[in-house]
Amino acid sequence: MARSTVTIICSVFLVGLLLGPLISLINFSGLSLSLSNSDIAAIKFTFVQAAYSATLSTILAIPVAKALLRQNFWGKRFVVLILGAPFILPVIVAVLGLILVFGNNGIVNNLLNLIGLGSVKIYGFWGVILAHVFFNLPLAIRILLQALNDVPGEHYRLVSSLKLSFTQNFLALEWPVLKKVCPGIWAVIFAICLSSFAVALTLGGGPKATTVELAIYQSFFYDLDFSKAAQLALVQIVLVFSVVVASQFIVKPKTVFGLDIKISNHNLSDFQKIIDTVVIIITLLFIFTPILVIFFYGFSDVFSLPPSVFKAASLSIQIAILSSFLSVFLGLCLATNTGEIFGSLGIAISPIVMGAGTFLMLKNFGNPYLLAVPVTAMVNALVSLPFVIRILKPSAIEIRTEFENLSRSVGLNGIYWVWWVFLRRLKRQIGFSLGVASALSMGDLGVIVLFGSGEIATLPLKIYQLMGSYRVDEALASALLLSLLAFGSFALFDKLGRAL
Amino acid sequence: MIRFEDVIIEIGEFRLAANMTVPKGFTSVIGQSGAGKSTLLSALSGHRPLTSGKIFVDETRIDLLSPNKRPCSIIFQEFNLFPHLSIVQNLNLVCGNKFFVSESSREKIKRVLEKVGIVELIDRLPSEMSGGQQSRAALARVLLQRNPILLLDEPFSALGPNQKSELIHLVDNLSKEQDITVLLITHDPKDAQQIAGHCLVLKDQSVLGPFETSVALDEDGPLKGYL
Repeated sequence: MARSTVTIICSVFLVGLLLGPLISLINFSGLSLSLSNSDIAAIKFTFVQAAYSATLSTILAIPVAKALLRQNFWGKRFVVLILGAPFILPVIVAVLGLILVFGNNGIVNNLLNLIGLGSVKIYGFWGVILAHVFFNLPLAIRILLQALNDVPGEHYRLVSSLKLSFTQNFLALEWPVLKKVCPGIWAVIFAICLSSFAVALTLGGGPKATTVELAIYQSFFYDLDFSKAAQLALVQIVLVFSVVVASQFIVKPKTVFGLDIKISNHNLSDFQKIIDTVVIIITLLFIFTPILVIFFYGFSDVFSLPPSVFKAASLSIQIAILSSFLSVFLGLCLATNTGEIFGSLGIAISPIVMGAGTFLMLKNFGNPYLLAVPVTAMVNALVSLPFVIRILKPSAIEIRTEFENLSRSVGLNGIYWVWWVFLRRLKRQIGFSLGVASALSMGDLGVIVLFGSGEIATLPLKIYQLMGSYRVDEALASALLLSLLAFGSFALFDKLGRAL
Repeated sequence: MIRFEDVIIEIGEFRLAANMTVPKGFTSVIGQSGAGKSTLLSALSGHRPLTSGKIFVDETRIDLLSPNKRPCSIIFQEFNLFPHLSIVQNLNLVCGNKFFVSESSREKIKRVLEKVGIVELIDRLPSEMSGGQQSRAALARVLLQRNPILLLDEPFSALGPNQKSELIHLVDNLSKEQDITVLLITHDPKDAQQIAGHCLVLKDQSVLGPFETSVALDEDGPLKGYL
């Protein structure tokens, strides 16, 4: 079967999976056509918080990426590597960590009180922004650092020999890179933040800090207004999908060729070196303190957790395994430019609507609660699909181009080509994307809130329930367990991909 | 016999016309860089479509067939073996069972590797072999394919003169033994002189010939200016 046929079939299947539940929901409840003031406020808040989060993450990433580029220190490679950690850190864990650091009784507020300054507020608009910057700043730093690193060493040597001023230096070397890369970074973070749910659920809420996704959840749970939920889901699809499609045209990485001579000495003044060091230390403290405090506070209670937490952990593992394999299977079928556009629908469609719509479709055939695990796994797979495609696509395209002539000349095609060439050449990326998808699913607090009950609860939902009942010690220990499971599953799959 | 009937291949501004019959045996293809030598072989092997015209092998029209259905095997300048597969796995791709290497396929592969002199490297990866050994492995695969036509797109250009000469003679011997028609692209008239009975010359967007190699290499022959 031709590759394009596989992409088309898979895209149709995917659109069915994504839109089927929404259509089922509209069919069940009808569609509300008027937007209330609170809906408009939610849309406005969604846009504003996404714009703030994207802008702050992008701007803050610039000095950090420059500092990391210019400074050489022991462990630099490790630092750059673990900058990827927040991306796979479960949202609920990060939120707990941020509350411990920036909350009313957190480290930062205690320090501020000690020196007689006011306190920072973690809940509401700025709390949502803080959490989004926490998740997306490392992503922006890594993309920018890569782009700055791609500037050929000869350019730095030439500029250095011309003895240009600071501004001229910036305009000659860094501005062209920033101009090219920053809009793409901004668009990606903006799109991710548009569909934010767990952060808004835990740190936001109320009329002033509700995202569209959170409003959908509230329509289901508190107002039981399904037609409103369907209407907001349609609004979200239009918003996110148009941004995602637009970002495909903005993000056009262009390689600058040089002799690959890297510059290790940037002729920096002592003042610049101090500034760079301070920037790096503050960034590392901001990113890793919330993670470290979870480990610190959670460790003592992790072995005395109640059995219900381990039961929830076991369910999370099952869902993560199912979901990651489904996501990577779909990702392999859709690892083309066209496939990526369809795959991006995953972050545009509300997981809660997907779950609720599927629930309604399944209720005609029996008890949908019995299918909670596969439905949650499927929704999680679709949510992580855009990231999986992003990982697989560049190498998949390279393999097709590089081995096209050889494959044709030995008559290798179809399933045989997939077996001997595609899967074997892609095994590292497959391992990596299985790791990312499993970690994302492990930490997901989305559709499970619909099916969640005393009997069916994943670990993130369990933590949310523990937080709600003020059992903070157990919540922290469970958060540590969840982090270990998320990082562990990522490391395991990534290692398998490298070892096989 | 390979017959090109009013063949035109156009790629953007580039144009190549071919209207000739290639005889059995060893024929070299000579022309300056960018003259269209690789394009000609790609069109014959099915990797590039014709703009117009027809190609026949004996009396069978082949230009409408997909590459793997054509009676041609091709060895490229590079990427002749899958780098992540061992030699036996690479060669197994043209044997019967394609999901795993059966005992009978392994035996069959061993026999052809013996012919090209690298049977002891059967389980090696291409990266663990020299350029010459890789070329021999690619040649072994061609023997397994059992196609009556072999197209060589400068596969030995990166090798030293001794290795290159050795391999050209190996191809010559094997092609005679198995009655294979060979088309060899070369920049070096010495290669043509060594073994090729005939020679095609690419000049002024056309394929000229075939000429007898000695005639083509003559001072006043069609290669005047190139030599």
